[in-house]
Amino acid sequence: MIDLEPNSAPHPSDSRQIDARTDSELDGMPFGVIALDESGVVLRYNLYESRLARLDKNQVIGRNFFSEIARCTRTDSFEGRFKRMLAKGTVGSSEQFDFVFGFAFGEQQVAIEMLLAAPGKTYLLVNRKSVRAERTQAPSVPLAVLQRALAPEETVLGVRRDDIERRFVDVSAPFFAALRATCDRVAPESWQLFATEWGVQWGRRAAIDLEAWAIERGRASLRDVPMQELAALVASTIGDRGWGRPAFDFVHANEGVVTIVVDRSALAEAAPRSHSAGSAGPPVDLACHLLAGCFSGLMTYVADRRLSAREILCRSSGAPCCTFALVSHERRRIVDAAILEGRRGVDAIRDALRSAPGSGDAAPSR
Amino acid sequence: MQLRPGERPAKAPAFAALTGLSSAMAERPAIEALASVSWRGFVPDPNTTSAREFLGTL
Repeated sequence: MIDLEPNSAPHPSDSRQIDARTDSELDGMPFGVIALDESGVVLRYNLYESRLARLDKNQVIGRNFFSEIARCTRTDSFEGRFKRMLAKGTVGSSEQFDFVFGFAFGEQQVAIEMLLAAPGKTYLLVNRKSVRAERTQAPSVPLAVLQRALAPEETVLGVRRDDIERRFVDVSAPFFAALRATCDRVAPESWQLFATEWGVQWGRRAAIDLEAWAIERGRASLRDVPMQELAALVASTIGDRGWGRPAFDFVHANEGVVTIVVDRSALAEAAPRSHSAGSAGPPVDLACHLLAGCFSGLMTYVADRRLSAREILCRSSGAPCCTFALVSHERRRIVDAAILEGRRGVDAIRDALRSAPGSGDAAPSR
Repeated sequence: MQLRPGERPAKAPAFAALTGLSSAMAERPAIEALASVSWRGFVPDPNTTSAREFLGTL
């Protein structure tokens, strides 16, 4: 079974560290990251910033941040500070200040950390403090650009966006059936690993999306949202997009396991019906590793500790619905062993967890 | 172990360490912590417990 990468983010003030991060790593950070060259042209733009500014990074990168993207920053306190930092040229220097981003869809009170990471390369780390649907600044203040102004007429080019300007692709079930069939042909034993890791990466990005949702609703953090509310949020996020609606069951949380049931998983229904494994390796009658990985990545972010979700029953193999067990990362191997032994179902997994060394009255292995 | 509301047993910090409670949580009286955070029989309330604290008990 795949191991999740540690859920970590660099300390925002370590400019060298943030410059060394990959774009994928920047996309996993719960604050905005924008890198500018010496003239203010955007070099890097992460997912969180894209989500809250409602701008597609593909249209933002390569444009001038001050004159084309965020015209509200053409002030001495922002652009002036940027120019003075460049003129001084002290690599590693940083400044922190508060600012109000003026978007057409509202204002965002932010705390900016401006870092000179390399000669001519400046990072803006943007922490949202509050998001308002209205504006308090005078109408004469220039607003940040809208996505549709950056890429007009894109609909005719085959680009679709949702109501917060995220690009999406309408994918039908045969697409996933084709992906699975391809993997079965070229690398049949890699499907579980591939799908799980894909799901983990998806879950991490979904968490950033939900973190933006939380700040838009006045929450300090997604992690502060009550568990039941988070479960409903995850259910709508995944269910409304057609994957099947997850239902969380906390009844066995006192035994260290949360179960998640998806009645009509799109993955299970797109998968080939159960057939004999016929060879070594993981069972082939579990089809929803992508969803399991997503739950793992998302919940690991929220818990700020490593959690693992495993599919224990799947509709593709005749079960009435798909069921996932969410446990601590340390106890995932107990669940994996039970699955490989054919001990499926919630009760079997609970029995396995209870009888494992270290269970009972002992504290959990952490 | 019987505790009265507000009573802090000597082993409260150890419990906090075992269950991964936040430092703020660990400073609360243990009886409150036991009421809202679970392990092996203690049931947290998912309606009132933050997602981070709830998942921290798994």
